Amino acid sequence: MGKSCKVVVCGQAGVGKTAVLEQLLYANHVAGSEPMETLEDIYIGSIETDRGTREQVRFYDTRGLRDGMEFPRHYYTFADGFVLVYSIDSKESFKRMEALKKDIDRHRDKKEVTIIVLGNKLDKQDERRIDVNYAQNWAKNEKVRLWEVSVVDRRVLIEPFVHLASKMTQPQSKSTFPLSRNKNKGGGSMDS
Amino acid sequence: MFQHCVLHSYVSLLLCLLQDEEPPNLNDTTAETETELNVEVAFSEQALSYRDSNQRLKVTSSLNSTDDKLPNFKFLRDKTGQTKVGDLSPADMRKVHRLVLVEMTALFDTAGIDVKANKPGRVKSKESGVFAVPLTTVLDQDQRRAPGTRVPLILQKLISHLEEEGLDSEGLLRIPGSATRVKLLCEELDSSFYDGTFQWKGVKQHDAASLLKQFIRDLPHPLLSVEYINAFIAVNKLPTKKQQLHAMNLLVLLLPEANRDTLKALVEFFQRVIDQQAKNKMSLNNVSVVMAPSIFIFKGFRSKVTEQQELSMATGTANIVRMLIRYQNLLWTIPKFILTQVRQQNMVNQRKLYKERAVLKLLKKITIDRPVDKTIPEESAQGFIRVQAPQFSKISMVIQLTEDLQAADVLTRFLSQDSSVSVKKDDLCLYESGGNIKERCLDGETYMKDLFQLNPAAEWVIKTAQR
Repeated sequence: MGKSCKVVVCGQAGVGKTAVLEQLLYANHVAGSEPMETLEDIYIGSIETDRGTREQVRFYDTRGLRDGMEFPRHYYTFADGFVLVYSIDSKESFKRMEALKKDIDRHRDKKEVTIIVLGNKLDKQDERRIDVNYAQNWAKNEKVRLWEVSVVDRRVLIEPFVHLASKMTQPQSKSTFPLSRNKNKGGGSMDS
Repeated sequence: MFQHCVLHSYVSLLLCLLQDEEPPNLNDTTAETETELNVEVAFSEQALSYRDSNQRLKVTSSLNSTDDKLPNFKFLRDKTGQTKVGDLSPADMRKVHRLVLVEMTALFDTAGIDVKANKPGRVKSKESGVFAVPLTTVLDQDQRRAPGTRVPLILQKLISHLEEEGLDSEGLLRIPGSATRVKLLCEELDSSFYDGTFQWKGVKQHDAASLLKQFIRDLPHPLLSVEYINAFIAVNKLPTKKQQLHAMNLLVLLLPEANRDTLKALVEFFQRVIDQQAKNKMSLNNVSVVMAPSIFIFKGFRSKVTEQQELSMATGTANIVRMLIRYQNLLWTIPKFILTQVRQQNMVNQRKLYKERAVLKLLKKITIDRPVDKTIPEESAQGFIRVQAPQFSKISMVIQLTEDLQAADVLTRFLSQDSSVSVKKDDLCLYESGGNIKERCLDGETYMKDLFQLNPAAEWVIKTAQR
């Protein structure tokens, strides 16, 4: 087993970071259950990429950000990927997510990091405050993938995370040693 | 000759309370009273202060020994958690053993009782089969078949057989089986117990009870160990029930592991028998009187003792068995003052080690500009602990320490989130690991904040319990 990728899940407090992870990993989250404040939990998950390989991913479930709280710097330095979470019923959480994206860009130096964005609580359509198109346009400009999801439906969670895992572990396509990695995986591993 | 003085239980109870500096409450002297045990002060010191106060008060009270009712004892609540025998690592258990031996000697000394440790003599014994085989040999055989066995399989099987037939039969353990049948069964078990060909179905309950007694009696070395069996008997000479309990606590801890675990399984079984006393008429007293000879009279013992001595011993030994059964929940516990000493020893050793390393470093001309103390991780300084669970998919969890956070809460929280854990909560344990203890499985009622203050450098790990 090779080294596992480190993915940091972050966003405003109460947007459902822990819920997303638990529903994804254990499929046991009950929507509307009492929120428990996370400080920092670490999970290990194994995700099948679109190339058919299984990758081990270490998820860092971070503490939800509240007013005036800075996201701890040390996360920027070791993460291979980020899952930015906001809630579609809260403008504030979207703003917070935007700010986090900027911070990540500023801190990552030349390091390659994969970022995906999740707009959670799709089940609360009636209380929607963030327009889908607005969000998708923002994502296009920032060159990140964005999905609107709900922890009620586990299936919609799979695609974003498979994408994340595939992107993070993507072999360098312009490698000068084309056979150095995944040489026994066959041709399918080159592009996705 | 040491003057044997048995206090009336009322007086002893009152004195216990006085000693603990609690206001004596006269309403508290009913049979249901629980006397709290102070486990933070060394037992021998408590005994000394008892002896001193006893002389001051000139208590010479009624001497009739009709203290058939044993007082209720319970531990003072300890926020850093109880430590049961199996909770510590072997390395720390060895330290416990040394400290307990010193304490036991000191405690008996306060009462002027001389306990000479018997040298284990050479006893010829069989090396195979199940009866009349040393306990360790039986366990070796068992562990080859079922690794991790701590109580002889034959004993477990006998107990479960007795329970299958129902513990409510009148006179269970008292009524002997048929001598010829038992002798035959013995031989059969010796040869075919491990083949699995032995037919348990036809074994009558009272025969099984006789086999159980025979197993204990036939052990080449007594269940209470050659070294300490006399000390167990001498417990009766201690002046108060509380001191007797303290002494038994220490003695249980001194027993070799195999004996200690086997004895525990037995007293747990006896308690289950007693629970049915309304039907089987086997009260605590009855079971103790019936079982004491099997526990205290072992092979090679009879030859040294006259019949008269044996008879006079009977009441005393029954009393020991009574206490073993009655206080089983207290006796297999490591007193806090012992654990505190273990922590201190570990800390001293670490400091020594650190100094040695520092000297080495100096010799290598490497300057040390780091502070001597191990830096406490940032998060714990802010009142957080990081709980790790490397065996599971949720491998780490940071938890805020609050005044009332207990070890069980940590486990509950861990389990409520990680449903991939297929083990039950009872099989999991939160361990205190490192710092001034090697490893300790935490009792569910341990207050995390208090323990954290006691051992700030510890790591916290959730694992399946190794019991």
